[in-house]
Order: sequence, then C-alpha cells, then structure tokens
Amino acid sequence: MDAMTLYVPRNSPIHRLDPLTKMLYIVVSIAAAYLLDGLWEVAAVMIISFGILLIGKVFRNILPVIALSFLLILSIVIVQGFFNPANETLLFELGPIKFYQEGLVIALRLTMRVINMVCAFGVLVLTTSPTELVERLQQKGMSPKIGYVILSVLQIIPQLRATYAKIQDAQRARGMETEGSLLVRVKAFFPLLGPVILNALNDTRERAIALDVRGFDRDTPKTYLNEAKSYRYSVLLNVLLLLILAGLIVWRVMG
Amino acid sequence: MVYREDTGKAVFPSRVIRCQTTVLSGMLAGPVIGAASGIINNVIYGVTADPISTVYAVTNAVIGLMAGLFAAKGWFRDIKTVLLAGLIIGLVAATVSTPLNIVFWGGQTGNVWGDALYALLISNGQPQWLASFLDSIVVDVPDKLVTVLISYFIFKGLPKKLTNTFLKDGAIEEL
Amino acid sequence: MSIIEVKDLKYRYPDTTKLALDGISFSVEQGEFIGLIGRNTAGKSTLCYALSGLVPHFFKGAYGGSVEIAGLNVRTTDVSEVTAAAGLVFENPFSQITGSRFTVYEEIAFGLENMGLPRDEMIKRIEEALDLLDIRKVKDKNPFDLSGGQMQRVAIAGVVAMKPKVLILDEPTSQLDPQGSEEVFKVVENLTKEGITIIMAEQKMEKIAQYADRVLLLDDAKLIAYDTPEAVFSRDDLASLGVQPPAVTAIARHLGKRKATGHYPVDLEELKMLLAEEGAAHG
Repeated sequence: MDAMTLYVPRNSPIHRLDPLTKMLYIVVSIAAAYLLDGLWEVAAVMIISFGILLIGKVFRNILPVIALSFLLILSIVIVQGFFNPANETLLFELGPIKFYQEGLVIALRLTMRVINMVCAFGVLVLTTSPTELVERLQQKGMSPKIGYVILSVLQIIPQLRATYAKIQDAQRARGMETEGSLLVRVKAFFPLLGPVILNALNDTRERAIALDVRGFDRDTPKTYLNEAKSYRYSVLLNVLLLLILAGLIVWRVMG
Repeated sequence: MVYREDTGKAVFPSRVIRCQTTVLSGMLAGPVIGAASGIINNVIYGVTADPISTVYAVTNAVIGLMAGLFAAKGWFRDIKTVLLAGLIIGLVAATVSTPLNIVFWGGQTGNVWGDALYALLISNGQPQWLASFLDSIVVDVPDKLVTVLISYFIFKGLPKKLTNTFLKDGAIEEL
Repeated sequence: MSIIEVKDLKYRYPDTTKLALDGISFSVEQGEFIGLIGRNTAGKSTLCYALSGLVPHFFKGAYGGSVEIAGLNVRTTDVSEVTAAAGLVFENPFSQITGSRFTVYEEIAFGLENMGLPRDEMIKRIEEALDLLDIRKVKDKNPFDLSGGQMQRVAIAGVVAMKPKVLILDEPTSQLDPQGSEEVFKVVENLTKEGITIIMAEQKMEKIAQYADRVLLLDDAKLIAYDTPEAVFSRDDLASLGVQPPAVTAIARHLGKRKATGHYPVDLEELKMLLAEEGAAHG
C-alpha cells in the first residue's frame, strides 16, 4: 500500500532545494497573487509557478490536482460572469445566458489565483519527500511529536482504508448490499462505521503503547539516523523571497 | 499523551468524514486535541490531495475546539443539546469561513446550492458579505448538524473502557 | 539481586470494581525464561503491562505493592526509563509499526533515535538486530508491506535493538499464521542464547515447555503457581484453571508415567525414555 503523498521522486534543481525555501515560496507566491490586482501581474505570478514546476519536471503531476478545483472555478466563472452586479459590457451570449466583461475579468483573476495556489503547493509537495520535509522542520525546532503525527498519518490512513475495504467485504459476504443507489450505500455505511471506528481507535491506543515502549515520550534530545542534508543557496533564496514579500506588502499599503 | 494526537487520524477521502473525525476527536479527547485534529486533518489533506482545503484549516480547528468544549460542558448527553451544539457549530463554522471565502474566491464556496443562493442575492443588490455568509450557512449548517449528530451516536456507542483512555490524564490511586 | 522483584502487586483498571492483579509476588533472576500462562481473563496481559511500567503510567487506575525492574521502582520511575529496561512486544504486529518510517531499517532506528544514541552506535545495533531477527532481506522494504510474521519480527527488532534488560512478549504469535508463528519462535530461541531475561505469555504450551525455566500460572488475578514447567503442568487442577498441558504431558498423565521427581514429563524424549525403561523392566 502506498503512502498518501503526492511526492514524485525526480532529479531536478527544485528537488534539491531546501524544503523551507519551498514553504516560503508558497506563502510568497499566494500572497503575491492576492496582493497584485492587474490581470497581467497575476498571470505572471501564475506563470512563474508553472515555470518552477516545469524545471522540477513535475508539471504534468499538478494537472490532476488542479482538476479537483474544477467545480469551484466553474462556479466562479458562472456566478461572476453572469450575476455580478457591476456587469455592464456584454462579451458574449450562450443561448439565454449573457456573460459580461467585468464579471469575467474578476473570474479570470480569481481563477488564476486558485490555479497559482494549487501550483505553489505543488512546488513543495511534488518535489519534497515527506521524510525530508519533516526532518528539516525538526532541525528547525519543530517537535518530533508533530513530525511523527504528520508522517504516520500518511501511511496509516491508507492502511485503515484497506481495513475498511476488508470489513466491507466481510459484510458483503454476509449478504449486505453495498453497491447500488445512494440510499442503499448510505444504509450500508452505518453498520460498517461501528467496526471501522472501533478498529481505528483500538489500533490508535495500541500504537500509543508501542510508541511509549520505543521511548517516544522521552525527554532526552533525539538523534537522527539520516545525516542532515545541507542545502545550497538556501539562505540566499530565503532572504530573496522574504524581501519580495515585504516589498509587495509595502507597495500594496502605499499605493 | 501521544494517542490523543493520534485520534486525528482515520481520515477517509471525503470532506464530510474529515469534519466527522475532527468532531469525534474533540468529543473524545477535548478541545485542544479537537483543534489540533482539525488543523492536521486539513493541512494533511491539503498537502496530499487538494491544496484548497488548507484554507479551511482554521475553520476545522474551530470546529474541533467547539466540539471539545461542548463535550466538556456535558452537551453531548442529551439529544436536544446535541442538536443545539450542532447548530451552533455550523453557524460558527460559516462565520469563520465567510471572510476566508471572500478573500480567496470572491465570496463563493464552490458548492452548487450555496453559490446559487449567492448569485441570487448578489443580483438582487445584497452586499457581498451577506451573500457570502448565507452561502456558507447553506453549506455548513446542515452539514455540521449531521456531522455532530453522527459523532454523538458513534460516541454513545463506544465502550466506556475505550473512551476513558482518551481523556486527559487522571491520577494514579493508591491501593 | 534479582532482575525482577514483584511484591504484593495489586492493580485495578479505572472505572472497574474488580482487581485485575491481586497480591502477586515473585522474583526472576537474570537470564531466566519465564512462561506466563493462564486463561484469557487471568491477568497475564495486565501483568505484562505492570512489568513494563505501562501499568500504572499509561492506564492510570489504582495501584498497590511494588515492582522493581533492574533496580528501578516502576511506580516512581518515569515510564520511558522503565520501558527502556523492560521492552514489551504484544499481539498485533500492525499496531506496533510506528508508521512514520518508510523502510524497516529506519523503523528499527526509531527507538534508538529517541534514546539519543550516536549514529554509529545506532547502525551497529540495527545491523545486529537484522541478523538476530533474520530480517536482513527485507531491510529496505516498507514495514507495512510485510507478512504478519515478518512484521512481528520487525516489531521485536525495534524493541531488542534498544537492549532492554528484560524482554516481555505478550502472546506474540496469536495473530499470526503457522508459518509466522514458527518464524517468531525461532527468533525467540535465538534470543534465549543472548542471555536476555525473557517473560513470554503464550497459549501454545509446547513452546512454554520447550523454552521456560520456570512457569508462572495466573488465574482470576492471583498467582496460582510458580515452578518448573514439569511441576506446573503436572498439576491436577489445570483443566479447572482453563489451561491445557502440553500434549506430551497429557499423554504421560493418561498412561500414568511419572518421572522420578513425581512429575509428568513435558519433553517427548523424556517420555520415550520412560516408556523404553518400562519396556526394558518388563523384559
């Protein structure tokens, strides 16, 4: 069973960047997209994110994630394009539905911001292995307990899903209908919920015991099996990103 | 102590169930864990499947926090107060989500019914904050009400021996 | 000084009225292998928790008497120090895999990192554990992708690498298939040769008879017997205590073949010898 992560191992400069730099990029990129107003400016921010993903050789992998936001984007386009009270200039008609320029401009800007948000996250998530990310955060002082929760969740959830599937199979073998109309599936859901949740909670409790046995709650400072990675240009890039952010905020506040 | 953080797991790929586990965590392990569970749920889901969810980490944290507070105050014993709690949690969730929705996606939620209401209100000259708030209400209140109800039934059905281990540290008695 | 010293141990889980352990006293010497037997509700698991400090620190509840592990008083010592001295392995392999590591190698390192060991010491211990538990061939695999027997051996490796003075195994093969069980028992045999003190709760009496120096029999929260396997399995009241003796002993009892000590044999070779002697005696 695969861990629940979008990470795609590749050999690229982006993969070799400090995870903290990438996290900083998410903040700066999203902030930039929302601080800037002009369509071209926002487009530029989005295209920069595309560019970074391309350099990271993971552009293809962000597309399904963008697709998840399809409904949101569609809804924005329709509501803004059609219903925005500031709408005046008619752009085109689709049958009885009229789409106006002002609304569509707003929709386009919002859409680019949403796509940029997804891509910015992609820069971190597609190019950083969970273990590397957590170890870097712990190096910077994050509690190992939080690090543990992040990593274990990525693996244990798929495992629990497999258990859910097994329990569902067992119920089906006992003659329970699990396929079919929504009503049938909802009805099938509740008797399944009990054993699944009980199983998950018991498992959680046992794992907590096992963690105690392995010294998880110890006060002594933790050491690491893996050597700490050193990242090139990390400080330079981080400072650069922070300056850009500061600059944008100042610009926005002033103008 | 760790297992209380662990209760923020058992997440299934469905938005409803994610809030479910947050509420259940809050009920089992208290407001702090409920809030932590809310944040972890959304951040992890956001980073592993859909980045848009990270925006609502704040909302989910508040939901978990409130579930824990209500549980501590004993609201989850009687069905009437359970319903009331669900209603309140839904309203608070909508309130917290509204500014988020306005900043990030111009007031909409992405939900068909909610956005339809938004569109209707906007085109009738209502202010954006109101349209967005009512949009969120449509999305959040029924959803949270059902979530809290389901959590209540699950919680009731759990053996006491299990729920006890998730509560805050007790003292060791002498024999 | 005994490595384990239990004096009048009493324990009650929170929100219960009945004692789970009622006045248990015994001691264990370094290097001994103690088999822990009794019916399901006798208190074996609770005793295992008490020896590793989880009772009372994890479970809370009401506690009386004292348990000393390698000189540490369990009640007053921090639980992570106690578990470092007495490692616990229990039934379900899945819930003993931490889930935060993606390879078996790193999974074994988990406990060692928490102990704050230097890197070369960690690597040394992991390499030793891989061989001791015979899991070298899966060292780069994800722990969740293993069979039950392999997963349980990884769990044991994770504990053994921390070099506890005592290793407690609470029915480690109950959830495994026959092959997995065999793998784990083979590993237990390897461990006995390492000189580590072992407490093993088991239902498979043949294994207890094979490995144990002494057997501790519990029933209804009380200590019923603490003696050699022969002595305990030769008791007349085993059935009423919910315990089946090993097949060899049951046959010996049925045939009325006692040893010179007055006990029934637990070992097949001994039974064969007794039968051969009798055959020879009858000419």
